[in-house]
Amino acid sequence: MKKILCILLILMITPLLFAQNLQDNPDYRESLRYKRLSEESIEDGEYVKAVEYAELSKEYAEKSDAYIAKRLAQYRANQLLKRAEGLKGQVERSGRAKQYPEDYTTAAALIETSRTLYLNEQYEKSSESSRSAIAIMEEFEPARTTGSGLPAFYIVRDMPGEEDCFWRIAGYDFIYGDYGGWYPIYQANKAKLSQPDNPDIIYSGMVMEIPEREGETRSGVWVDGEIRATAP
Amino acid sequence: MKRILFFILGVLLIASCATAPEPEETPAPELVKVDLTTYRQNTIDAKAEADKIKAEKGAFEEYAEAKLLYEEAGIAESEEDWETAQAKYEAAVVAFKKAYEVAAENRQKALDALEEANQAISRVEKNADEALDEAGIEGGNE
Repeated sequence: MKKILCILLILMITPLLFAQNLQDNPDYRESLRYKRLSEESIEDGEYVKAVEYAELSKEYAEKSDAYIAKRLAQYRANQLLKRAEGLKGQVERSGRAKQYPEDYTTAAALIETSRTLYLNEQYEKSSESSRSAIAIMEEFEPARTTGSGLPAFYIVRDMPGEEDCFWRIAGYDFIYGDYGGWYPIYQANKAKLSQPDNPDIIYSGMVMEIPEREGETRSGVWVDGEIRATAP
Repeated sequence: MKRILFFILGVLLIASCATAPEPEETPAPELVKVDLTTYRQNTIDAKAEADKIKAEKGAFEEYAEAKLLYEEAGIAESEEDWETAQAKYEAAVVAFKKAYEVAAENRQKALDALEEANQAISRVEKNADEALDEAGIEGGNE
């Protein structure tokens, strides 16, 4: 039942991610339309018009590109913010916040700033702030972890009532703390699946590679709350 | 006696009139027809080149001017005004060549602009692919 719910959640989130593809972008469509008009004008000998159309095509393509760049910056800022928040949670839970009170306060303030910048659509600055917070917290002595405190691998668990799936794995705060980050994990592990085109079927015991995100360094395998150098 | 003298003078007068030389006929000036075949053909060839590159639209003003000269040359030829026809044909050749050059230049500008647009579109598609790989973002507006 839980697995079905998990699949349903993925199905609900997936359309949000993929409903709007490049062909749905009005600026991109306009750039293609003007390109066609330019080609037709050249064919008709209307060279001056063809130049005008080609310039409009370029203009719309650039708008479209700027939009994609903005969305990507937003995505990265969001991931970094979630990563920073996830790390903050880890630091709090492990007691390291009390161990490094000043640095922790600074990191928490940076995360707050990052959140505000994010809401104001200043994604690059938000990312910078998150990176700074992450950098501070990664300097804390790791608690039961290796290296950066972020695992490079995760072993799929068999938890009665809470079965793992890509969506859930991505959401763990020691992974990405972001359910929406399931797709890169799926991509990185696609070849290992019995049905590579079906991300819904994974089995307990599978060792999943967790791709590093921008600003992350990962190592070791996450096993029962700690990161080990090798899988058991 | 007087009558005899008058008679002799009359005879002499008549004789002189009868032997007077006929006035010589001057030949009518001959009409010189200039062979315009080469000039006409050069114009047709230049026009064909301009048409091939669609100069009628691609270099509208230059082509219109050339076409007018060509038509005027034809009119002058039909009126047997050979000198004007020849001059007009020659001017038309130059004008059609000019139209060709302007059209070729405009065409190249259009092709360059289209190439830039294509590059911009390719960049968008490449960046959209990368965004999809990294984040599942496909680039559509919300």
